[in-house]
Amino acid sequence: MIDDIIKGVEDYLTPNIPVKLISQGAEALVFETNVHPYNPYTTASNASYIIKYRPAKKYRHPSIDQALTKHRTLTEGRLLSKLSNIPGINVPQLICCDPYNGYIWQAKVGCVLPNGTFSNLKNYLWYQKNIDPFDEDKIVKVLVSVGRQIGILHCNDYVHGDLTSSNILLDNNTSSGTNSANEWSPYLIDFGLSSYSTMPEDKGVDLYVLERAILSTHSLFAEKYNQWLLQGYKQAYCEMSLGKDDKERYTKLEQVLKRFEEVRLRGRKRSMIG
Amino acid sequence: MLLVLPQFPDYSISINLFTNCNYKGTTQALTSCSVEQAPRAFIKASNIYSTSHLLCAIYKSFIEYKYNRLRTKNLSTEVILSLYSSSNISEAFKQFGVNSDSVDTDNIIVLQIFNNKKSESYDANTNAYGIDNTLLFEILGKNSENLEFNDANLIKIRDISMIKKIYKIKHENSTNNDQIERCIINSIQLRGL
Repeated sequence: MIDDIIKGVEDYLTPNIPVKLISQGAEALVFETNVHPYNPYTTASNASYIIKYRPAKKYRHPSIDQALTKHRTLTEGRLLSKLSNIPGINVPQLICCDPYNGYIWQAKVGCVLPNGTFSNLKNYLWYQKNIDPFDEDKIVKVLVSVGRQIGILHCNDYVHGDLTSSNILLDNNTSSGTNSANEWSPYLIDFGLSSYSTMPEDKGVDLYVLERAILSTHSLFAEKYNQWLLQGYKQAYCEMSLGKDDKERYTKLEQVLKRFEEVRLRGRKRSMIG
Repeated sequence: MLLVLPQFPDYSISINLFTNCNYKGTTQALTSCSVEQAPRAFIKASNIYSTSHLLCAIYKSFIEYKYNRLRTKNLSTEVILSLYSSSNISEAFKQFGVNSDSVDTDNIIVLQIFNNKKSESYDANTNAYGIDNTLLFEILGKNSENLEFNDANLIKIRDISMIKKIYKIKHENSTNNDQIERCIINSIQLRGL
Protein backbone atom coordinates (compact mmCIF):
# COMPACT_ATOMS: atom_id res chain seq x y z
CA MET A 1 0.00 0.00 0.00
CA ILE A 2 2.55 2.56 1.15
CA ASP A 3 5.03 1.27 -1.44
CA ASP A 4 2.50 1.91 -4.20
CA ILE A 5 2.02 5.48 -3.02
CA ILE A 6 5.76 6.12 -2.89
CA LYS A 7 6.08 4.64 -6.35
CA GLY A 8 3.41 7.07 -7.55
CA VAL A 9 5.26 10.00 -6.04
CA GLU A 10 8.50 8.92 -7.69
CA ASP A 11 6.74 8.63 -11.03
CA TYR A 12 5.23 12.08 -10.63
CA LEU A 13 8.51 13.71 -9.68
CA THR A 14 10.58 11.76 -12.23
CA PRO A 15 13.99 10.27 -11.34
CA ASN A 16 15.48 13.78 -11.50
CA ILE A 17 14.08 14.53 -8.06
CA PRO A 18 15.13 11.86 -5.57
CA VAL A 19 12.99 11.85 -2.44
CA LYS A 20 13.22 10.44 1.04
CA LEU A 21 10.12 9.73 3.11
CA ILE A 22 10.48 11.45 6.46
CA SER A 23 7.04 11.41 7.97
CA GLN A 24 3.63 9.92 7.46
CA GLY A 25 0.31 11.06 8.83
CA ALA A 26 -3.31 10.11 8.30
CA GLU A 27 -3.75 12.53 5.45
CA ALA A 28 -0.36 13.23 4.01
CA LEU A 29 3.15 11.96 3.45
CA VAL A 30 6.13 14.21 3.89
CA PHE A 31 9.20 13.83 1.71
CA GLU A 32 12.50 15.57 1.62
CA THR A 33 14.65 16.35 -1.39
CA ASN A 34 17.67 18.45 -2.26
CA VAL A 35 16.45 19.48 -5.72
CA HIS A 36 14.67 22.80 -6.16
CA PRO A 37 11.60 22.39 -8.38
CA TYR A 38 12.33 25.31 -10.68
CA ASN A 39 15.32 27.40 -9.74
CA PRO A 40 18.65 25.68 -10.43
CA TYR A 41 20.52 28.75 -9.12
CA THR A 42 19.39 28.24 -5.55
CA THR A 43 20.32 24.58 -5.39
CA ALA A 44 23.09 24.88 -2.87
CA SER A 45 24.79 21.66 -1.89
CA ASN A 46 23.15 21.56 1.54
CA ALA A 47 19.77 23.00 0.57
CA SER A 48 16.77 20.90 1.37
CA TYR A 49 13.10 21.09 0.45
CA ILE A 50 10.01 19.53 1.89
CA ILE A 51 7.30 18.00 -0.26
CA LYS A 52 3.96 17.35 1.38
CA TYR A 53 1.79 14.97 -0.58
CA ARG A 54 -1.85 14.10 -0.02
CA PRO A 55 -2.44 10.74 -1.67
CA ALA A 56 -5.77 9.82 -3.17
CA LYS A 57 -8.02 7.88 -0.82
CA LYS A 58 -9.29 4.76 -2.50
CA TYR A 59 -12.51 4.63 -0.47
CA ARG A 60 -13.76 7.97 -1.76
CA HIS A 61 -15.39 8.57 -5.10
CA PRO A 62 -12.61 9.77 -7.45
CA SER A 63 -14.23 13.10 -8.27
CA ILE A 64 -14.99 13.88 -4.64
CA ASP A 65 -11.49 12.79 -3.75
CA GLN A 66 -9.98 15.14 -6.29
CA ALA A 67 -12.06 18.08 -5.14
CA LEU A 68 -11.17 17.46 -1.50
CA THR A 69 -7.46 17.07 -2.19
CA LYS A 70 -7.42 20.25 -4.23
CA HIS A 71 -9.35 22.16 -1.60
CA ARG A 72 -7.18 21.03 1.30
CA THR A 73 -3.92 21.58 -0.51
CA LEU A 74 -4.99 25.07 -1.50
CA THR A 75 -6.25 25.95 1.96
CA GLU A 76 -2.92 24.99 3.43
CA GLY A 77 -1.05 26.94 0.77
CA ARG A 78 -3.18 30.02 1.32
CA LEU A 79 -2.63 29.89 5.06
CA LEU A 80 1.12 29.63 4.60
CA SER A 81 0.94 32.66 2.36
CA LYS A 82 -1.27 34.68 4.70
CA LEU A 83 0.84 33.87 7.76
CA SER A 84 4.11 34.72 6.04
CA ASN A 85 2.76 38.25 5.64
CA ILE A 86 2.18 38.70 9.36
CA PRO A 87 5.22 40.24 11.03
CA GLY A 88 6.59 38.11 13.85
CA ILE A 89 5.20 34.79 12.70
CA ASN A 90 7.67 32.21 11.44
CA VAL A 91 6.35 29.73 8.92
CA PRO A 92 8.23 27.83 6.23
CA GLN A 93 8.30 29.49 2.85
CA LEU A 94 5.95 28.14 0.20
CA ILE A 95 7.90 27.22 -2.92
CA CYS A 96 5.17 25.92 -5.15
CA CYS A 97 2.03 23.87 -5.11
CA ASP A 98 0.18 21.52 -7.38
CA PRO A 99 -3.34 21.30 -5.99
CA TYR A 100 -4.51 19.01 -8.80
CA ASN A 101 -2.27 16.25 -7.49
CA GLY A 102 -2.03 17.33 -3.86
CA TYR A 103 1.58 18.45 -3.69
CA ILE A 104 2.97 21.36 -1.68
CA TRP A 105 6.66 22.27 -1.71
CA GLN A 106 8.08 24.20 1.22
CA ALA A 107 11.47 25.35 2.31
CA LYS A 108 12.93 23.14 4.98
CA VAL A 109 13.34 24.50 8.48
CA GLY A 110 14.95 22.88 11.46
CA CYS A 111 18.11 20.87 11.80
CA VAL A 112 19.48 17.79 13.51
CA LEU A 113 20.18 18.08 17.24
CA PRO A 114 23.53 16.87 18.60
CA ASN A 115 21.86 13.67 19.79
CA GLY A 116 20.78 12.82 16.25
CA THR A 117 17.10 13.64 16.50
CA PHE A 118 15.27 16.29 14.51
CA SER A 119 14.88 19.70 16.11
CA ASN A 120 11.17 19.84 16.84
CA LEU A 121 10.04 21.07 20.21
CA LYS A 122 9.38 17.57 21.54
CA ASN A 123 12.84 16.26 20.70
CA TYR A 124 14.47 19.44 21.88
CA LEU A 125 12.86 19.25 25.31
CA TRP A 126 13.93 15.63 25.66
CA TYR A 127 17.42 16.41 24.49
CA GLN A 128 17.84 19.46 26.72
CA LYS A 129 16.47 17.63 29.73
CA ASN A 130 18.94 14.80 29.26
CA ILE A 131 22.05 16.92 29.01
CA ASP A 132 21.23 19.25 31.88
CA PRO A 133 17.82 19.20 33.55
CA PHE A 134 18.77 22.15 35.71
CA ASP A 135 19.74 24.49 32.92
CA GLU A 136 16.34 26.06 32.90
CA ASP A 137 17.45 29.21 31.13
CA LYS A 138 17.60 27.59 27.73
CA ILE A 139 14.30 25.81 28.08
CA VAL A 140 12.54 28.89 29.43
CA LYS A 141 13.78 30.97 26.53
CA VAL A 142 12.57 28.46 23.97
CA LEU A 143 9.19 27.83 25.58
CA VAL A 144 8.45 31.52 26.06
CA SER A 145 9.28 32.21 22.42
CA VAL A 146 7.06 29.32 21.35
CA GLY A 147 4.25 30.73 23.47
CA ARG A 148 4.76 34.10 21.84
CA GLN A 149 4.44 32.55 18.37
CA ILE A 150 1.11 31.02 19.30
CA GLY A 151 0.04 34.29 20.89
CA ILE A 152 0.77 36.28 17.73
CA LEU A 153 -1.03 33.66 15.67
CA HIS A 154 -4.13 33.88 17.85
CA CYS A 155 -4.00 37.66 18.04
CA ASN A 156 -4.33 37.72 14.28
CA ASP A 157 -7.32 35.41 14.56
CA TYR A 158 -5.76 32.32 13.06
CA VAL A 159 -5.95 28.98 14.82
CA HIS A 160 -3.56 26.13 14.16
CA GLY A 161 -5.92 23.23 14.77
CA ASP A 162 -3.27 20.61 15.48
CA LEU A 163 -0.88 22.25 17.86
CA THR A 164 1.44 19.56 19.16
CA SER A 165 5.07 19.71 20.19
CA SER A 166 6.11 17.93 17.00
CA ASN A 167 4.37 20.54 14.87
CA ILE A 168 6.60 23.22 16.32
CA LEU A 169 10.09 23.25 14.84
CA LEU A 170 13.11 25.01 16.21
CA ASP A 171 15.54 26.52 13.78
CA ASN A 172 18.87 28.02 14.72
CA ASN A 173 19.30 30.68 12.08
CA THR A 174 23.05 30.59 12.13
CA SER A 175 23.12 31.39 8.43
CA SER A 176 21.42 34.75 8.88
CA GLY A 177 24.19 35.80 11.23
CA THR A 178 21.90 37.68 13.57
CA ASN A 179 21.47 34.83 16.01
CA SER A 180 24.12 33.10 17.99
CA ALA A 181 24.38 29.34 17.75
CA ASN A 182 22.26 28.75 20.82
CA GLU A 183 19.44 30.99 19.77
CA TRP A 184 16.42 29.03 18.59
CA SER A 185 13.54 30.53 16.70
CA PRO A 186 10.31 28.55 16.65
CA TYR A 187 8.51 27.79 13.40
CA LEU A 188 4.95 26.54 13.18
CA ILE A 189 4.29 23.85 10.59
CA ASP A 190 1.44 21.68 9.31
CA PHE A 191 -1.49 23.97 8.66
CA GLY A 192 -3.67 21.19 7.29
CA LEU A 193 -6.26 21.72 10.02
CA SER A 194 -5.82 25.45 10.46
CA SER A 195 -8.41 28.08 9.86
CA TYR A 196 -9.37 31.65 10.43
CA SER A 197 -11.43 32.04 13.58
CA THR A 198 -12.32 34.82 15.97
CA MET A 199 -13.86 32.46 18.50
CA PRO A 200 -12.17 32.10 21.90
CA GLU A 201 -13.36 28.48 21.84
CA ASP A 202 -11.05 27.54 18.94
CA LYS A 203 -8.09 29.30 20.51
CA GLY A 204 -8.78 27.67 23.86
CA VAL A 205 -8.85 24.27 22.17
CA ASP A 206 -5.52 25.05 20.50
CA LEU A 207 -3.96 25.78 23.88
CA TYR A 208 -5.56 22.72 25.40
CA VAL A 209 -4.26 20.40 22.68
CA LEU A 210 -0.75 21.73 23.20
CA GLU A 211 -1.03 21.38 26.95
CA ARG A 212 -2.09 17.76 26.57
CA ALA A 213 0.75 17.11 24.12
CA ILE A 214 3.28 18.47 26.60
CA LEU A 215 1.66 16.52 29.45
CA SER A 216 1.90 13.22 27.61
CA THR A 217 5.44 13.60 26.31
CA HIS A 218 7.13 15.47 29.13
CA SER A 219 4.96 14.58 32.09
CA LEU A 220 7.62 15.17 34.74
CA PHE A 221 8.08 18.84 33.95
CA ALA A 222 4.83 19.52 32.16
CA GLU A 223 3.46 21.91 34.72
CA LYS A 224 6.44 24.23 34.48
CA TYR A 225 6.67 23.92 30.72
CA ASN A 226 3.06 24.90 30.30
CA GLN A 227 3.50 27.85 32.64
CA TRP A 228 6.33 29.19 30.49
CA LEU A 229 4.37 28.65 27.29
CA LEU A 230 1.48 30.63 28.73
CA GLN A 231 3.85 33.33 29.89
CA GLY A 232 5.00 33.84 26.30
CA TYR A 233 1.45 33.64 25.07
CA LYS A 234 0.35 36.44 27.38
CA GLN A 235 3.37 38.53 26.44
CA ALA A 236 2.43 38.35 22.78
CA TYR A 237 -1.12 39.47 23.50
CA CYS A 238 0.10 42.43 25.53
CA GLU A 239 2.57 43.48 22.86
CA MET A 240 0.10 43.12 20.03
CA SER A 241 -2.45 45.33 21.71
CA LEU A 242 -0.06 48.15 22.60
CA GLY A 243 -1.66 51.50 22.08
CA LYS A 244 -5.13 50.27 22.85
CA ASP A 245 -6.49 51.18 26.23
CA ASP A 246 -6.08 48.80 29.14
CA LYS A 247 -9.60 47.53 29.10
CA GLU A 248 -9.46 46.46 25.50
CA ARG A 249 -6.00 45.06 25.93
CA TYR A 250 -6.93 42.41 28.41
CA THR A 251 -10.47 41.41 27.50
CA LYS A 252 -9.47 39.33 24.47
CA LEU A 253 -6.75 37.52 26.37
CA GLU A 254 -9.02 36.96 29.34
CA GLN A 255 -11.75 35.54 27.14
CA VAL A 256 -9.36 33.00 25.66
CA LEU A 257 -7.85 32.03 29.00
CA LYS A 258 -11.24 31.66 30.57
CA ARG A 259 -12.37 29.45 27.73
CA PHE A 260 -9.14 27.47 28.01
CA GLU A 261 -10.03 26.67 31.65
CA GLU A 262 -13.45 25.50 30.55
CA VAL A 263 -12.04 23.32 27.78
CA ARG A 264 -9.62 21.80 30.23
CA LEU A 265 -12.53 20.69 32.42
CA ARG A 266 -14.67 19.23 29.69
CA GLY A 267 -12.27 18.12 26.93
CA ARG A 268 -11.91 19.60 23.52
CA LYS A 269 -15.10 18.40 21.88
CA ARG A 270 -17.78 20.83 22.88
CA SER A 271 -20.33 19.21 20.61
CA MET A 272 -20.05 15.94 22.55
CA ILE A 273 -22.04 17.28 25.44
CA GLY A 274 -25.71 18.14 25.37
CA MET B 1 20.18 30.43 -21.12
CA LEU B 2 18.79 27.00 -21.77
CA LEU B 3 17.19 25.22 -18.89
CA VAL B 4 15.23 22.08 -18.11
CA LEU B 5 12.97 21.79 -15.09
CA PRO B 6 13.72 18.54 -13.26
CA GLN B 7 10.07 17.58 -13.14
CA PHE B 8 9.46 18.20 -16.87
CA PRO B 9 12.52 16.77 -18.61
CA ASP B 10 10.79 16.64 -22.01
CA TYR B 11 10.91 20.41 -22.36
CA SER B 12 13.74 22.87 -22.77
CA ILE B 13 13.22 26.47 -21.84
CA SER B 14 15.26 29.19 -23.44
CA ILE B 15 15.35 32.52 -21.62
CA ASN B 16 17.21 35.49 -23.05
CA LEU B 17 17.45 38.93 -21.63
CA PHE B 18 17.91 41.84 -24.04
CA THR B 19 18.72 45.40 -23.09
CA ASN B 20 18.83 48.59 -25.14
CA CYS B 21 16.02 47.36 -27.26
CA ASN B 22 14.52 49.88 -29.55
CA TYR B 23 11.21 48.20 -29.93
CA LYS B 24 9.01 49.80 -32.54
CA GLY B 25 7.18 46.83 -33.90
CA THR B 26 3.64 45.64 -33.62
CA THR B 27 2.19 42.62 -31.92
CA GLN B 28 1.97 41.06 -35.33
CA ALA B 29 5.69 41.38 -35.87
CA LEU B 30 6.25 39.64 -32.58
CA THR B 31 4.07 36.70 -33.45
CA SER B 32 5.64 36.40 -36.87
CA CYS B 33 9.02 35.54 -35.40
CA SER B 34 7.56 32.65 -33.49
CA VAL B 35 7.42 29.22 -34.95
CA GLU B 36 4.59 26.88 -34.42
CA GLN B 37 6.47 24.23 -32.47
CA ALA B 38 8.12 26.76 -30.19
CA PRO B 39 6.22 30.02 -29.82
CA ARG B 40 8.06 32.94 -28.30
CA ALA B 41 6.82 35.07 -25.47
CA PHE B 42 8.09 38.63 -25.04
CA ILE B 43 8.13 39.79 -21.45
CA LYS B 44 8.83 43.20 -19.99
CA ALA B 45 12.02 42.56 -18.08
CA SER B 46 11.64 45.51 -15.72
CA ASN B 47 8.62 43.82 -14.13
CA ILE B 48 10.57 40.69 -13.28
CA TYR B 49 11.94 40.81 -9.76
CA SER B 50 14.31 37.85 -9.81
CA THR B 51 15.07 34.60 -11.57
CA SER B 52 12.87 32.77 -9.06
CA HIS B 53 10.00 35.07 -9.97
CA LEU B 54 9.97 34.11 -13.66
CA LEU B 55 10.92 30.47 -13.11
CA CYS B 56 8.14 30.05 -10.58
CA ALA B 57 5.62 31.27 -13.17
CA ILE B 58 7.07 28.86 -15.71
CA TYR B 59 6.72 25.97 -13.27
CA LYS B 60 3.13 26.95 -12.59
CA SER B 61 2.40 27.02 -16.33
CA PHE B 62 3.77 23.52 -16.68
CA ILE B 63 1.56 22.28 -13.86
CA GLU B 64 -1.49 23.86 -15.48
CA TYR B 65 -0.50 22.43 -18.84
CA LYS B 66 0.10 18.92 -17.67
CA TYR B 67 -2.56 18.44 -15.01
CA ASN B 68 -5.28 20.94 -15.81
CA ARG B 69 -5.61 22.99 -18.96
CA LEU B 70 -4.02 25.99 -20.58
CA ARG B 71 -6.10 29.14 -20.58
CA THR B 72 -4.05 30.78 -23.28
CA LYS B 73 -2.84 29.58 -26.66
CA ASN B 74 0.39 27.92 -25.68
CA LEU B 75 2.89 27.35 -22.89
CA SER B 76 4.91 30.49 -23.57
CA THR B 77 1.92 32.79 -23.36
CA GLU B 78 0.63 30.90 -20.35
CA VAL B 79 3.76 32.04 -18.53
CA ILE B 80 2.71 35.67 -19.03
CA LEU B 81 -0.68 34.91 -17.54
CA SER B 82 0.91 33.01 -14.66
CA LEU B 83 3.10 36.00 -13.88
CA TYR B 84 0.15 38.25 -13.28
CA SER B 85 -1.58 38.41 -9.95
CA SER B 86 -5.10 37.83 -11.27
CA SER B 87 -6.65 35.67 -13.97
CA ASN B 88 -7.40 38.56 -16.28
CA ILE B 89 -5.64 37.61 -19.51
CA SER B 90 -5.70 40.97 -21.25
CA GLU B 91 -4.48 42.77 -18.13
CA ALA B 92 -1.68 40.23 -17.79
CA PHE B 93 -0.53 40.89 -21.32
CA LYS B 94 -0.71 44.63 -20.76
CA GLN B 95 1.45 44.42 -17.64
CA PHE B 96 3.95 41.76 -18.58
CA GLY B 97 3.74 41.38 -22.34
CA VAL B 98 5.39 43.52 -24.96
CA ASN B 99 2.91 45.01 -27.41
CA SER B 100 2.30 48.03 -29.57
CA ASP B 101 1.76 50.22 -26.50
CA SER B 102 5.08 49.39 -24.93
CA VAL B 103 7.16 51.94 -26.81
CA ASP B 104 9.35 52.63 -23.85
CA THR B 105 10.30 49.02 -23.26
CA ASP B 106 14.07 48.91 -23.26
CA ASN B 107 14.51 45.56 -21.60
CA ILE B 108 12.83 42.50 -22.96
CA ILE B 109 12.97 38.86 -21.97
CA VAL B 110 12.44 36.47 -24.83
CA LEU B 111 11.12 33.15 -23.67
CA GLN B 112 10.77 30.04 -25.72
CA ILE B 113 9.71 26.58 -24.65
CA PHE B 114 10.68 23.59 -26.77
CA ASN B 115 9.35 20.12 -26.68
CA ASN B 116 12.57 18.14 -26.98
CA LYS B 117 10.81 15.32 -28.74
CA LYS B 118 8.98 17.38 -31.32
CA SER B 119 11.15 20.27 -32.39
CA GLU B 120 13.65 18.74 -34.80
CA SER B 121 14.34 22.19 -36.15
CA TYR B 122 15.90 23.24 -32.88
CA ASP B 123 19.54 22.51 -32.42
CA ALA B 124 20.67 22.89 -28.84
CA ASN B 125 24.31 23.01 -29.87
CA THR B 126 24.13 26.10 -32.05
CA ASN B 127 22.75 28.61 -29.62
CA ALA B 128 20.06 29.17 -27.07
CA TYR B 129 17.60 31.08 -29.13
CA GLY B 130 17.27 28.89 -32.16
CA ILE B 131 15.00 29.91 -34.94
CA ASP B 132 14.44 33.10 -36.94
CA ASN B 133 17.10 35.13 -35.23
CA THR B 134 17.46 37.72 -37.95
CA LEU B 135 13.82 38.63 -37.62
CA LEU B 136 14.15 38.72 -33.85
CA PHE B 137 17.00 41.23 -33.97
CA GLU B 138 15.12 43.31 -36.51
CA ILE B 139 12.28 43.65 -34.05
CA LEU B 140 14.43 44.24 -31.00
CA GLY B 141 16.63 46.78 -32.74
CA LYS B 142 20.21 46.62 -33.93
CA ASN B 143 21.68 47.95 -30.71
CA SER B 144 20.03 45.39 -28.51
CA GLU B 145 22.38 43.49 -26.32
CA ASN B 146 21.92 39.94 -25.14
CA LEU B 147 22.67 39.64 -21.42
CA GLU B 148 22.71 36.53 -19.32
CA PHE B 149 19.43 35.93 -17.50
CA ASN B 150 20.52 36.04 -13.87
CA ASP B 151 19.74 37.87 -10.65
CA ALA B 152 22.64 40.31 -10.98
CA ASN B 153 21.40 41.58 -14.34
CA LEU B 154 17.76 41.68 -13.27
CA ILE B 155 18.59 43.80 -10.23
CA LYS B 156 19.95 46.49 -12.54
CA ILE B 157 16.79 46.82 -14.57
CA ARG B 158 13.90 45.88 -12.30
CA ASP B 159 11.32 48.48 -11.33
CA ILE B 160 10.54 47.63 -7.71
CA SER B 161 7.79 50.19 -7.20
CA MET B 162 5.95 48.88 -10.28
CA ILE B 163 6.37 45.27 -9.15
CA LYS B 164 5.02 46.17 -5.71
CA LYS B 165 2.05 47.80 -7.36
CA ILE B 166 1.31 44.81 -9.56
CA TYR B 167 1.45 42.35 -6.68
CA LYS B 168 -0.18 44.74 -4.21
CA ILE B 169 2.70 44.43 -1.78
CA LYS B 170 2.22 46.89 1.01
CA HIS B 171 5.06 48.91 2.44
CA GLU B 172 5.14 47.52 5.92
CA ASN B 173 5.76 43.93 4.95
CA SER B 174 8.36 44.57 2.31
CA THR B 175 11.26 45.47 4.53
CA ASN B 176 13.70 43.08 2.97
CA ASN B 177 14.25 41.57 -0.44
CA ASP B 178 13.44 38.03 0.58
CA GLN B 179 10.04 39.11 1.79
CA ILE B 180 9.16 40.75 -1.54
CA GLU B 181 10.17 37.66 -3.47
CA ARG B 182 8.21 35.53 -1.04
CA CYS B 183 5.05 37.60 -1.56
CA ILE B 184 5.42 37.37 -5.33
CA ILE B 185 5.92 33.60 -5.29
CA ASN B 186 2.97 33.11 -2.94
CA SER B 187 0.64 35.09 -5.13
CA ILE B 188 1.77 33.39 -8.35
CA GLN B 189 1.42 29.92 -6.89
CA LEU B 190 -1.99 30.41 -5.32
CA ARG B 191 -3.73 32.66 -7.78
CA GLY B 192 -6.75 31.66 -9.83
CA LEU B 193 -7.19 28.21 -8.39
